[in-house]
Amino acid sequence: MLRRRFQAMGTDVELLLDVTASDPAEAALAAARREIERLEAGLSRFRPESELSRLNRDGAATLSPVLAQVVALALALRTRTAGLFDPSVGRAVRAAGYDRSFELLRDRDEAPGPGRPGGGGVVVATDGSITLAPEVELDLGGIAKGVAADRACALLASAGPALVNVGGDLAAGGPRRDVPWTVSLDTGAGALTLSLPYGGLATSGLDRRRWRRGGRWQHHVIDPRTGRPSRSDLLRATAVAPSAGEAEAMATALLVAGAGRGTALANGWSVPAVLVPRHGRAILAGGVA
Amino acid sequence: MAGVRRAVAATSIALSIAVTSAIAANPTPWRNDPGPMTAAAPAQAPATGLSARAQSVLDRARAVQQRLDELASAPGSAATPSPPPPAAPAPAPAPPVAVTTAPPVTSSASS
Repeated sequence: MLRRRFQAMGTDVELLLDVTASDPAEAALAAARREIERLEAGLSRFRPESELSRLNRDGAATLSPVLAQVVALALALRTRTAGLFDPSVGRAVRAAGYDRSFELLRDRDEAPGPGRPGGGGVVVATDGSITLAPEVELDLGGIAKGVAADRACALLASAGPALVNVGGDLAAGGPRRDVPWTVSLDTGAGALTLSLPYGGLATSGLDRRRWRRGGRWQHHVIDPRTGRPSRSDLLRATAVAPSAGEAEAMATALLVAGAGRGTALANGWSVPAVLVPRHGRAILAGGVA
Repeated sequence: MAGVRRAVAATSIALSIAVTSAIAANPTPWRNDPGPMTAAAPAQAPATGLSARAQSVLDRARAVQQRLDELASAPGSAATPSPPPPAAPAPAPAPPVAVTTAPPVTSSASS
């Protein structure tokens, strides 16, 4: 098993390739890393020169095909989740105080800004041009890591069974020869391990990426219905989907929905999920056996 | 603030009409998600006397509308309307997962 670890997209990245060392395997690992770094350069809110920053600044831009696809996928998932996942909450994230790379955030005395609900207008044309309605900014932080994992995994899979983990958002590029990939989750009352033969698995939570504004804790998961950090009764939600990008968005949607509705949605969507309440035992839903 | 509200209301109307017209005229070039653009009340967009913020909003709205107009007037969009797009395919089924006692190769912490 070849394993590489590095930092990108503000988090830990892990590449696993279940083959013996070889030049093609090393080339695939290097290509996967470059792809993740390329997506980070294009999708970061915190790099003024990124394509996303340019779009948010100017209100319109023609994005590279890959990044336009990310926006289109995010909008499709907004529809599929009935707005519980929404990339148009960029201003709400900033209003909550997440206005720079997380490692640079400091607690501040001033209160957070007003809530800015989602549902903002976004028009994507087939030529890759994207136009935002006034006052709308995109935040692709709820899908970018998953998409990066998917694309890196596709590159790795040319060399063998592969798994890519970008900050807890995982893409599996095919079953290993003997057993499925195995992924550990923290349920608050011990670890739970799931077998994942292929596809994506992602966890979204309120217990990471937190900071204080005006003496109150803030976090990065915005409830698009209120435009403020979610007050869900869930601490974490893990979702499984055909791709990591979809899984990441679904995990956020279930987290925002809360324990009761989230369980019903996971079952209704047939999305395997593990929901961890703030208090109580983990809930298995959506067909997790 | 009244200037901002009037400008937003006026541009919201224009945007809503432009989006609706563009989609009706030619649905295929759009993978669009126009989102809610609610018109509050008809108003004449003031041309002068706007604050910098209001002017910025207005300029951006005009840029949006200009782009929408360009797309709507693209060859074939109005004169030869395309057939409606096929229904979106159903999402692919999720992979089967199960709880296992096998040792994990990695972990999924919240991101």
